[in-house]
Amino acid sequence: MPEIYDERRDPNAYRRAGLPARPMRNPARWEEAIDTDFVNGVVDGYRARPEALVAIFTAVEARFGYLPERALRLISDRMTIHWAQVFGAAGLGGFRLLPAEGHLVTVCDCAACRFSGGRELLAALEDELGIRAGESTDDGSFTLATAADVGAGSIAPAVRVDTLVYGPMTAEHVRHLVTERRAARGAARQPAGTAS
Amino acid sequence: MATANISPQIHLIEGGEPRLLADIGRIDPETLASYREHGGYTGLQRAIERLSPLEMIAEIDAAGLRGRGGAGYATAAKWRAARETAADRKIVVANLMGADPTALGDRALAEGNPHQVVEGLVLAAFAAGASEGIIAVRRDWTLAIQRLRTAVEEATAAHLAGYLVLGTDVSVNVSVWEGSGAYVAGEETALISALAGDRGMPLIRPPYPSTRGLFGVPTVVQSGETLAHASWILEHSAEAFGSVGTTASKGTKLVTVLGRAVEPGLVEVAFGTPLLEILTLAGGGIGTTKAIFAGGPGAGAVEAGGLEIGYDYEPLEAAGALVGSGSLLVTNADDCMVDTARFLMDFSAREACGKAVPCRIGTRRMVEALDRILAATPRPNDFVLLRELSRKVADTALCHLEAIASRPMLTTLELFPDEYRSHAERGVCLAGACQLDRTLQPLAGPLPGLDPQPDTIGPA
Repeated sequence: MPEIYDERRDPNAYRRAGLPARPMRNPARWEEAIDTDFVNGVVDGYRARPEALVAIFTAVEARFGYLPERALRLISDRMTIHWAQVFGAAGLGGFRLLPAEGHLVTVCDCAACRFSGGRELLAALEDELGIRAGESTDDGSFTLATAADVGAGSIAPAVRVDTLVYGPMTAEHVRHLVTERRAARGAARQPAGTAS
Repeated sequence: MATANISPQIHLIEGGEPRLLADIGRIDPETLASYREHGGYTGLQRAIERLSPLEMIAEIDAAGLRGRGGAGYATAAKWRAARETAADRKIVVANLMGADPTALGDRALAEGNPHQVVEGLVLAAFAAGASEGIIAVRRDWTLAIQRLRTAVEEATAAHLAGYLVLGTDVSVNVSVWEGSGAYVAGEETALISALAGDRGMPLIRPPYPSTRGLFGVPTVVQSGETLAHASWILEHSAEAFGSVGTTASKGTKLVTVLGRAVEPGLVEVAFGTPLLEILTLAGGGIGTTKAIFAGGPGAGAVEAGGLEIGYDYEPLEAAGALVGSGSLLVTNADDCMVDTARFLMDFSAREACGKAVPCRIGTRRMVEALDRILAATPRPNDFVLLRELSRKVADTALCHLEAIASRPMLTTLELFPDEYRSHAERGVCLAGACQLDRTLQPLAGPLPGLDPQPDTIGPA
């Protein structure tokens, strides 16, 4: 079977390799219903200065949990920056471009974390969640990822859950973090279930 | 050291030659008054009221300040080049993008003493004749962003920045912007592209940013640490700055020690301090230290036996390592050098922006070759491929990050050929760190290119 390298993970590469193409998770992202006034307000707040692009992305990501494609198109129109530039800056900037599925658990993979036990954390999390790095659990409650930019420094090894950075961590600590959030989600779902 | 007012991520190691770090924890980073009590903005006042920009550049020149961002280019020469370019608009950018996520220096300065960075930025703008100053900060350093914004507001309100600084005809409008935290975004032309609202990808030089940079106008990009040193020089004196360090590189450098050290953290040392002494400051190594990777993701390895060399641009360069981001990764006998080299190169490969094709594909292919070596299934010419690719990636480099990307592999191949040989030929990890498939058949046949070839490590 031919190799598929990271940089070639597009649907056509999968098709040529005889593998089932990965389905687009959200084919109708153009039409997404988002709060357009909010996006326009943010862009206007920065007076459409190009230096503020990352600040605008950060604000939009904080509001929606990811950067909706429609929001990027709006930003592109309103700032008169080409769509390809806006999308490129967002993609290279490490923003989430797909809807957040549950909690994003990021294990730091920087040199400091790796040499103080980051790999054991990843192994513990893979074991606890039953998924590999880069995957989501079946119920969509957790996504596991690795990144070198958690920026944990002296609190290595570190784990980031959504936006909070925890460290120094042990395998027990990360298991506890996951259990805690599972319990919180379960509790949140319970009343809704009883009401119906 | 008790450093209650900065993020817990930053641990300051006591000892060394603290200059910039001396005030962190002593002053209140959120008030201008506290910084002024410790002599803040006296350098700016003296420079703007008594010196001409050229006299100020001469003072920086006399101090021998070199850019702390990694390249070690003379700061005075950069400012002079921007000053000599005739333009209506000039911009000075403070680079606090934290390209190497493990280096803590700029973050500690921005969080612990933001006014020093702002003062340095205004000084640089005054020297270069710029009327705009931009502080670009990595977006996940929220505390740093918040404190820098407060500092800029206070300084502007006190007429230490902004319109008509200190009642003179100098105006420097300072603003703080978030930048995306990518490795390549710390490179100066990539930072310029990102600030212009484009992808953070490097540009071809020349033209250099000091003649044509952000928005097409002359731009000076300096790291936060360089700017803080500049304000230190103006506050004290050029002689005081040069009292420590070597003849080629004067002053001090913020060094981050990480990995297998007893007390990893940030320390400020004079240039020329032996690596061994820096390691001792960090409590020494855990276990038997095997090698130190100096310079961040593109670091070169320095063997434990050679740790007597001074921490300085030229001696490290001669050893195949570099000052780079100022981080020192300590490894010990339990770490596999092949795997460490693979790990560091994988970082460069993943963070490759994709503009230079040899870098984007070449680094990925090198990581794959290292993966095959680690799994004891190398192709016969893998070592030749590694050496050739590393040369070609460096030769066609658009930015210095890709030029140094293969250094971890080249230096470890030089210093620890036995580890590569045993991995490739027998599937045995000499450090006992790698999990290997024991059912593999040993490889028959020679592996050309494995033996040390000292001439393959070219200049960055």
